[in-house]
Amino acid sequence: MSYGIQLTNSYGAQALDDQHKSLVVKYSGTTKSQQTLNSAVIANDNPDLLGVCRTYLRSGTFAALPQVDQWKRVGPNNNYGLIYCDIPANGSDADTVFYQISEAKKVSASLEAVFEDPGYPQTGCVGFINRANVPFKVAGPITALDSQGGYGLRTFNEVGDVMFDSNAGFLAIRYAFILSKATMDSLLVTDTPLDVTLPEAMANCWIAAPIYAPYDYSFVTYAGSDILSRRAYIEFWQHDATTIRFQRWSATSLTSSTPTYYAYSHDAIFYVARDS
Amino acid sequence: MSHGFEFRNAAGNVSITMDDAMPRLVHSQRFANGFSGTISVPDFDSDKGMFYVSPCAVRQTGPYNLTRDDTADYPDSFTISCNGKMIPDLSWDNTTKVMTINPTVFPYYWPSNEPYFYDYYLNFLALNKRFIV
Repeated sequence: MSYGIQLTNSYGAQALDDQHKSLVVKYSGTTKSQQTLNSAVIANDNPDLLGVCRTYLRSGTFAALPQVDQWKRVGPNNNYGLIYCDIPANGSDADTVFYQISEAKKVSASLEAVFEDPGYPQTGCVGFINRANVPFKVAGPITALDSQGGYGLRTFNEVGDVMFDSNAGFLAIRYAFILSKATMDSLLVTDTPLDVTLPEAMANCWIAAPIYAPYDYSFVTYAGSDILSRRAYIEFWQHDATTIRFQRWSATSLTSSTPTYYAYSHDAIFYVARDS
Repeated sequence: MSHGFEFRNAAGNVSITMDDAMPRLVHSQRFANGFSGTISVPDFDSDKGMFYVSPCAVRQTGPYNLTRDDTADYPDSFTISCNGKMIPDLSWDNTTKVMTINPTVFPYYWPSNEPYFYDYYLNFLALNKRFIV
């Protein structure tokens, strides 16, 4: 950086500059179950199987995820995942959804996606987790719409885009960490939990997991058809002020000495923000 | 507060202090599915931030109204998938500040569901610190 403002904090991290947009809180609320989105969804859907950031959804429409069985399929004929997105004016493709994930609302799948409707000029993101009624905050790069106050401190880049406004709402996103695919694979075969210790106490912290869906399924073949015999996910939640816990959830419906085994896991990235 | 800045919200509570790094978006870029190559992000430091992939939803094809009509039973719709294909292989070199991107290879044992390919955004966020698990 050759000019302008730059602050370094007490940890040696760059705290503020006028070249990169600060992340501000744009929306908050609680995830909404699919059933409250539309009364016409399949009657036996579990309301806890899909949590959606409701501020991005227009009431009376469907919302779902297809293709992966742990995401409950909804929509016409139970075959399609549909979502209709009412993207806010200050939404962006770089918004990130943070959740307060407690032991009472453990999460085993999380995804956020960008919507780019060719017939709609605004892009935005939508967050999904497999729990309803979970508090969320959407943090994203500041826009002119997030900087409307007539007081405080603002910084702009060289072309006049607002980079920071002290009057905006902030989320203290303090840390990031990665759980490797190897760690996920090891968790899928045991009930022993993995505790991730945060560098500081962060009670009621906010966690973002933009892509998180490790699981395995086992099938047995009967009369020419594959029948699901066992399934396992890795749930996570804030265990205490300094601990995020990861632990397998599994259910067995059939036993077999020769099951067909499908597993999917991946490196997963997490962001952690302080509650404030 | 002993030094530096602090920011308070409308309720008077401290939201950000000089112990925090103001969370910032360092870089955001859209990639076509199957992209293979490198990008340089000189301002990103993986010791003090992290990147993530955000897939683009795609327009649903099929018996749905593809024009914007809020009164239709099924207005514009999108599908999202959470299966493996949409996540690219990412390798970040924090010395050269170069990200190498390759499409992933789908597991050979994958069940009959068709793998879906999605364009995606790659976002680089700066924050206080990345810690190692």
